[in-house]
Amino acid sequence: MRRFWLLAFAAAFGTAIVQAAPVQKCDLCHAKPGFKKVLPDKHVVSLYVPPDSLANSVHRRRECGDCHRDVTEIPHKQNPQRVDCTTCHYIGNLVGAPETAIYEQYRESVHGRAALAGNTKAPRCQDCHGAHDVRVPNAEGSSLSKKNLAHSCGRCHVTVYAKFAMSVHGKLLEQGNPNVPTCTDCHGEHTIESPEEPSSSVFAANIPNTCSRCHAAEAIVAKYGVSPEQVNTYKESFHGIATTFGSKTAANCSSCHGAHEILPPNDPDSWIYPANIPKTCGKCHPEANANWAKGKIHVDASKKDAGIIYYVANFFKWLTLLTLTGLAINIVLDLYRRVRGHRKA
Amino acid sequence: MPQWIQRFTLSQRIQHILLFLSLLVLALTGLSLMFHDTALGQFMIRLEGGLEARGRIHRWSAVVLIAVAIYHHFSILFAVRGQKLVRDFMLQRADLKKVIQSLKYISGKREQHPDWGKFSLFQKLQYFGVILGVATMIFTGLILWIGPAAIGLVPKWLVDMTLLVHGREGLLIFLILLFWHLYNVHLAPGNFPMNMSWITGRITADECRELYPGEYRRLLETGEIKE
Repeated sequence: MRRFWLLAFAAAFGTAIVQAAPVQKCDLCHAKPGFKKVLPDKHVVSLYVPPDSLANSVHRRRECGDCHRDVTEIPHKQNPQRVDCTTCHYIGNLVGAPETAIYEQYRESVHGRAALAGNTKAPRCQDCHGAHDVRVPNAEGSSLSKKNLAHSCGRCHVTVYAKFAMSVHGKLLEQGNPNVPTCTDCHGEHTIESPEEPSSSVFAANIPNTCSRCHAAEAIVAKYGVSPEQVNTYKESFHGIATTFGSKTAANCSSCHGAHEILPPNDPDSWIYPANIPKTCGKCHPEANANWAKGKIHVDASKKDAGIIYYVANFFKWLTLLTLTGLAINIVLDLYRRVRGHRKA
Repeated sequence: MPQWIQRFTLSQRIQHILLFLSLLVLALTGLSLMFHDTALGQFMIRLEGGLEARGRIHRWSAVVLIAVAIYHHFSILFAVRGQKLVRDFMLQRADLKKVIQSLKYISGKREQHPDWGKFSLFQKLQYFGVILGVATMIFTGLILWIGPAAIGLVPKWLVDMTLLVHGREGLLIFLILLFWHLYNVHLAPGNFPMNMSWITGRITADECRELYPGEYRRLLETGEIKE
């Protein structure tokens, strides 16, 4: 019945108005808050486009038809196709859309490949950036702002988002902390790839480098009481060396700390809470017992907080220096004696 | 024809060769792991066939070293020549006095070498140094060999310390061999390119009289050599 009235409405006003003021023309229906359609399966889809959504977006100078190019008459008889952003967003465009490498990066990403292969669930531009209310990503209110991004990804990645929201990173992010990572800080944005891909920033062998972007930066982690040395001590450990030399089974940061569910070590639910260490190590080392928690995991022999390890390391340092000095003196004296012996002869 | 004095038995020479070959391989494979973050270390690890092959070579060399160590202990406990060897190596109070004589000789206040017995104090210290060092390395190495299983038996920090001691002690032994032993038997004037007695097991009577006068006199008295 509604469609009938739409058609009648359009017939009454004619096409002349469309050409004169196309935006207003669309507004006749789409600016009404109750404008919606009911799908055959009884799902209600709102077709309401708040009048200020486009006006507040980066596309405030664009008109409906610039994106909805397949709408050539109003009222339109068919559902408009999904908008293809690459109509404007390509390198060399003439309409002033930003020219960046991200368009090509997206095509190579796990999302882009799936979308191009015909997976209708794979996100396209507007699924993350928003449709009518596209804003500069770091602007307040953008679906991609630091505060909102994780929630945006979580619309599809529901369980991962639930874990992340409870993690130390997620909780601090919720409080508005600008230093903690959100999804894209570890996974990348348009370059996002499956963790199985060797070039992914979250591929097992690349995880230490990815975490080190913050966790080796004293300016970022020191104020939270986290040591920036943890990455170095890992790289010096058997796990770190094996990972560096291509082992696919050696533990990396997230093997022990978790990925989305990371909790601080003093949280009883943390994988590295002392009582949980036998279980965490036990994932790879079934023989792990309570002894595995007795001592530090990230040991730096050059730091005093390594305890007895520090003093033993120092003992060997001085023993080696003194021994070598003694040997050097011995050699010099021996040569001196031989030279003098020669002169006498 | 110079007179030759047999200084080392064939068994001792073979022990020495196996000892230094295994130590050399252990040092190269061990240090390449210790310096894995340097270009040279990475080159060495590639040369050794990768990280895992490096570990296998290291452990097989350790087996050779352990076998030599066990054989040597049997020989000094039960073999007549082995028992004599240990007696010659034993530290004596007189050695202290001879250190002062040695210093005087070096500074020119004394014409002659101090009268060491068969072995000089430095050689004695080297012998016990090798025993102490090898024993430490074998003990800590075996703990690391069983690896994670060791953490189940003792607290983790003790295994961390074992790893630390194994690495630092190994480096120390390597440096001592490099700077002292290499100098004494290879580079020191008169010895270059090397003192051959490690292969032949013998030195000339003249060398013996010069370097080990006490031993020389003893051999004269027992009639093993003639003037």
